[in-house]
Amino acid sequence: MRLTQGTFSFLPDLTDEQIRAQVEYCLGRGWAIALEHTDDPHPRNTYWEMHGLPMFDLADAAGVMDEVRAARAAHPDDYVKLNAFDATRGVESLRLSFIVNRPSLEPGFRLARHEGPGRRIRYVIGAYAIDRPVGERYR
Amino acid sequence: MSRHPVPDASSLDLAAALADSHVEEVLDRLDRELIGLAPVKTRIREIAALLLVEKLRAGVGLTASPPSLHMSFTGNPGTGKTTIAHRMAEILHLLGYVRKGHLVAVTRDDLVGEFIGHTAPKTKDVLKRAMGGVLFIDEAYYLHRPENERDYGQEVIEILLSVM
Repeated sequence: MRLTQGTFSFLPDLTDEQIRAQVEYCLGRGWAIALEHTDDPHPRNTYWEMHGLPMFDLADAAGVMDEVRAARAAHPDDYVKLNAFDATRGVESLRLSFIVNRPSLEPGFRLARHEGPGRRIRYVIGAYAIDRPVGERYR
Repeated sequence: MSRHPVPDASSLDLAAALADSHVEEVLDRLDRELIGLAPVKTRIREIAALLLVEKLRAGVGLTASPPSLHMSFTGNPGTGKTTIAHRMAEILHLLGYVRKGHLVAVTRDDLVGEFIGHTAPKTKDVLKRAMGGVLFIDEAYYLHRPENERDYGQEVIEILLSVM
């Protein structure tokens, strides 16, 4: 199941040219770009690991694209996303975030039913990928 | 060996290309705002002319290897090295040799780290900031300190050389 998270999530994956154009837009607005990666695709997993430090004061997208390629090479079987942080006073939050790398095989999610007191059903979503230990997911 | 068809001289208009690039305005402003410095101004005009011709040559498929654009400015303090670097960045941008044309001015302490493993990320961060523009290293001779063998300046020089 294809993971859909962030901006452009229902579009096909962006090409490098399109990513570069998005990064140019972000840098033109003065937003700082950061890259993050994870192997746990759960939608409530908001704490992805950082790939390097956030990149401040860039003027050109070439530096970001180098980092994107480095992140893909370092984590070919992980999800990698690109975040654009707007530090403007009163915003101070992410403005744009999209996935730039995904594993070749995405097993998807299971829906588990937990029966509670009074036969009440609670539903739990879990990714099949995280049943396996770190490093063996998405193989 | 294949030969590119070379267009005849009449189809190349140097004057129009020069007017089109607006480089002349920058050079004129340089002449107006800086007193003296005749050799520097001449040299910059020469470089601008070379780059313009190089661009035209690339336009008709006569591509030689791109000219090396690394420059070193030497002179006493206050003789306009940084000012010239700013103008040079502008000229390179107008001629399309750099995408953004901003100038990132750094000194030794912006590049050299304080402890082992700090230098490379710091230098690479500066290089990333300078991409698409011009990196101006103030007091570059200061990077290498031969009297201190544990100095990290050498590492900076190696990283700079690898991207140059």
